[in-house]
Amino acid sequence: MPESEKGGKEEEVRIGVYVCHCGLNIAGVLDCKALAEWAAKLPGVVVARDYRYMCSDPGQAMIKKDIKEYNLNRVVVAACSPKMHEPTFRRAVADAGLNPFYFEMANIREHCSWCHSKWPKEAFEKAKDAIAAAVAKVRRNQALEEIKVPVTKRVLIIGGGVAGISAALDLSDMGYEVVLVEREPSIGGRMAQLDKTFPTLDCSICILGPLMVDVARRPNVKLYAYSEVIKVDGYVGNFKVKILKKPRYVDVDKCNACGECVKVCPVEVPNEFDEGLGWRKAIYIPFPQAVPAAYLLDDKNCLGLTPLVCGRCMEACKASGADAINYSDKPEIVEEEVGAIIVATGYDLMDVSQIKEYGYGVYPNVITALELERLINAAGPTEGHVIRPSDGKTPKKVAFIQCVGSRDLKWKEYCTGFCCMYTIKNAILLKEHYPDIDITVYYIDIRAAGKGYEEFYRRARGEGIKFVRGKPAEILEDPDTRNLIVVGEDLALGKPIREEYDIVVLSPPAVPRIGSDKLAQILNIPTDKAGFFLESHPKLKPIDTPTEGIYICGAAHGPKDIPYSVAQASGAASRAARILAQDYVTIEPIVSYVLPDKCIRSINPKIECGACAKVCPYNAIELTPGQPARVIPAKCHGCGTCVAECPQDAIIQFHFTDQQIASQIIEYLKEEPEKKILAFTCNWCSYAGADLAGTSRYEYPPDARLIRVMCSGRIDRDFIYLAFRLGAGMVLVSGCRLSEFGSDCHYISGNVHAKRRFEAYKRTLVRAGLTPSRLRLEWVSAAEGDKWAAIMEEMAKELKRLGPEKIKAENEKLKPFLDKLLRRAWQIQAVLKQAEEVVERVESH
Amino acid sequence: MSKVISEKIMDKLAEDIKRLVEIYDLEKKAAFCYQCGTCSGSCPVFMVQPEYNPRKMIESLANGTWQSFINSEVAWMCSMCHLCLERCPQRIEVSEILAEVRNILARRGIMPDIIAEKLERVLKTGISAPYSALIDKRRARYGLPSAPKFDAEAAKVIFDIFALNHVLTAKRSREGGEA
Repeated sequence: MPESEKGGKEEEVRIGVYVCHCGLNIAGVLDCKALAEWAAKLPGVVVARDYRYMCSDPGQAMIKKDIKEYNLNRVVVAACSPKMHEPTFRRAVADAGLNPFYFEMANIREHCSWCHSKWPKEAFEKAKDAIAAAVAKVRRNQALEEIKVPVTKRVLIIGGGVAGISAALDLSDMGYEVVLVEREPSIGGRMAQLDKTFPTLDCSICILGPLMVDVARRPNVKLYAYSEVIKVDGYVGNFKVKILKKPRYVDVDKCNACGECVKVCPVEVPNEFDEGLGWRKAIYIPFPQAVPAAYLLDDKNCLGLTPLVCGRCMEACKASGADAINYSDKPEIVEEEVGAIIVATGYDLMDVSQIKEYGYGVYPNVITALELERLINAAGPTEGHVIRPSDGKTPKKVAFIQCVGSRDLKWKEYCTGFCCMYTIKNAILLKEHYPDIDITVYYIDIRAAGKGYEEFYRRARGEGIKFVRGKPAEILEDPDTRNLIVVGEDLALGKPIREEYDIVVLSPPAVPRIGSDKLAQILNIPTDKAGFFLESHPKLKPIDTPTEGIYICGAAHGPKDIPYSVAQASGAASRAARILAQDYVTIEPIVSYVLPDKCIRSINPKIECGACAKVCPYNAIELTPGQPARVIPAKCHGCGTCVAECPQDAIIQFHFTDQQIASQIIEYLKEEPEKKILAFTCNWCSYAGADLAGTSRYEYPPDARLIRVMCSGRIDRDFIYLAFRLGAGMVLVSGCRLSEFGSDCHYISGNVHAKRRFEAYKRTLVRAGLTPSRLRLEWVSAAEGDKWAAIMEEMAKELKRLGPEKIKAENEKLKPFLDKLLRRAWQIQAVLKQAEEVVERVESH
Repeated sequence: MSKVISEKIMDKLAEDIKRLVEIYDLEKKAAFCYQCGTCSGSCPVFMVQPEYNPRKMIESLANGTWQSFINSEVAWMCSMCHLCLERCPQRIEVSEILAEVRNILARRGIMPDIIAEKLERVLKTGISAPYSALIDKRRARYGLPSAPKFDAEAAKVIFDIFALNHVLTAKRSREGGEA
């Protein structure tokens, strides 16, 4: 067909359509040749062909040849899911010199031939619609360029435990500048508190200490101890960080750690490093190997921070010649610029005094595992002598209780994972110190899944440590002897237990380090149900956060032992280096853009609208007073939630513009709209779920017409109004799962906004006379192909029950109301006008 | 109590237990039991009579081997202190489930004789323990007034409300039928 016949405006658009047989996968159900012949008549289509395997080399060569020969500037391939071969064809198109975004795919395999073989006629219509919609969209596609932003080649590491130190050393070795921020006065973290480490019984501080010294000494590592990250702005490659340096009152450079100040300090408080079992002065060093090796003054417990009140430490310091103490030290805020961030904030132990059955905090001889670590540590408060807190006697009979709060729905549902091993280690150490000691470990399951762990467990049994299966129900105390009576069942024997012990050691759950929730807000990264930082993907991106450029390692991500934390730290270092090694980072250009003169903030500077910024899960929208809102492309992940939220229609999402999506809706609803279900699906879950329904060959009725958006948050109410205005039978809105357990949304919270909007426009429409069952919201995950098929089945049934006549009548009634609602949507109006022009042209022709 | 339940009753029980499994969503709930022994370790009855083991009962309900325990006096030994329910780390309502098992058994007239005797005594006299002068003597020692009179009529009303007569009839007819 000569180009001129297809109307004036589309003259410059030259589309090639390619229908793939996929062997018999598609051609077995659909007549591909007929599809191609039909597609050739669509406006703007210059050439349409069918071929056995479009993704094969000859298939791709055919497209490239046609682009040259027919001077094509748009390409549509009707084949499998775009999740399968969109990248393949985009590359092929780009090879032929076309912008890859001038390409669209029509899914006629997963969404059609694979799931509608029972309805070949209707499936053919569905395939036609899919191709027509792809052609309509590709006509409006724009050429897009990848976004490039420069990279600051420095990294921020939050947390100076073994994970943070390991990541810092790795990145420093690679030649990158590291900013290491530690909240405590010394780096070292939990590992510095431990005595020995499993399964090889190395002395913890002996292997950690050298690393601590090394990391602090390196010229390309900037250490901020006793400091906190309070603000993070920016985006991948370009973060701006504010760090609060808390006052130490001791100059780290001048202090020579002589300890003269401690001798004269009159204040004694429990030492946090020793879990409160020992004492320290108000001026102190947390532990002998601390880095930086300098004292600090605890201003909460110091008598007055002035020579008028006490001043003895200052005098002693001056007398020693160091003169390092400065009572007028003030908090200081410093700024750093980095390209990537690693979060390694570690864990705390849950306060088990809440678990009343075990009497921790009431019975002095019930202690936690970490308290035992300090007691058994030669550098601890008792110099390695394990004693009963009640009377200082050496215990002869010790019980360990596992899963005290872990694996318990009343406290922490998850398994902490490392308690089994440290309990075995502590039991072995106790046996080494006191060969005659009687030790029983009460457990539910021993989890020894690690290299050398099961062997270590066997070793413990060999050393005479008793393991009793059964979680004790409670601990009682003999008030006279302060001995403890463990009550429970020995599961193996089915017999009651009532055993007396000198000391009982509890294994509490590991919980996120205090302040993790605040840090999550500062960094704008999500946490899981338990409060640990959430990875981007549990399998393929276990170290990334959903925010590009921010990585997690160690127990900040979930309870983890030392080897695993160190391995993950190296992983995080390599993920960060992946960013830092580049001069620029590229970002997919499907980002949002605010049309400055459409934004209400520039039309009327008095209006401080911030609707877009409010819904953005990535803080990617900048609001400067008196200026239109601005999307920072490097921070935008391209969900499009702001686009749907803008009351002015002033935001567009590239490659998913209102006009592009509206043109698909119009195309789908051209013929017999009352018999169709228009389905909006998010790219990551629902669309993939529908793909899986096809891959699993679930048969369901072919009434649905799918529109793919990146996130359900992109689904504009105007799309729904337009669909019903054009006479759609039913509309389905679907996205990633959302439940009381949280949101699975790929963009953190897009589906939350989709739901909120859905509830509002559904109310509006139902009030105006829409049958409620005609508009539906469903959460379908990428794994729920069966659910997708079931929903389709249900909706098709309901569509039949309502019948086209009733729907038509209802739509007719809704028309004026919907017209009114849509008057405001200028982008959609523009497409409607163009569509009318085409219809007129075709009719007049 | 007779330890042998006829096959017919066993079949009916099987239906009831199946319903119980559904009502309490036992397949799901009891399936969550990871056999830690917190219920049994907490149980005051288990401490003195280890034959009574709530942990094993939940396990047998979960895996469908409940026949042996419902056919013995063990099922009736719970003191209803609910410690197991309070402490279960998987939030399984152990004591409530076992009470429901006893309800099902009672509806079929299956219960130890001592329970039936007590029921009958309550029906007749309004109290479960037989009155004796010794009780008043003891009460006097603690400075308490003599025991109040019990109203057998009121007990009958309660029996009607909870269909306890039916339970007793079922028990009598079952024993009559099997004898």
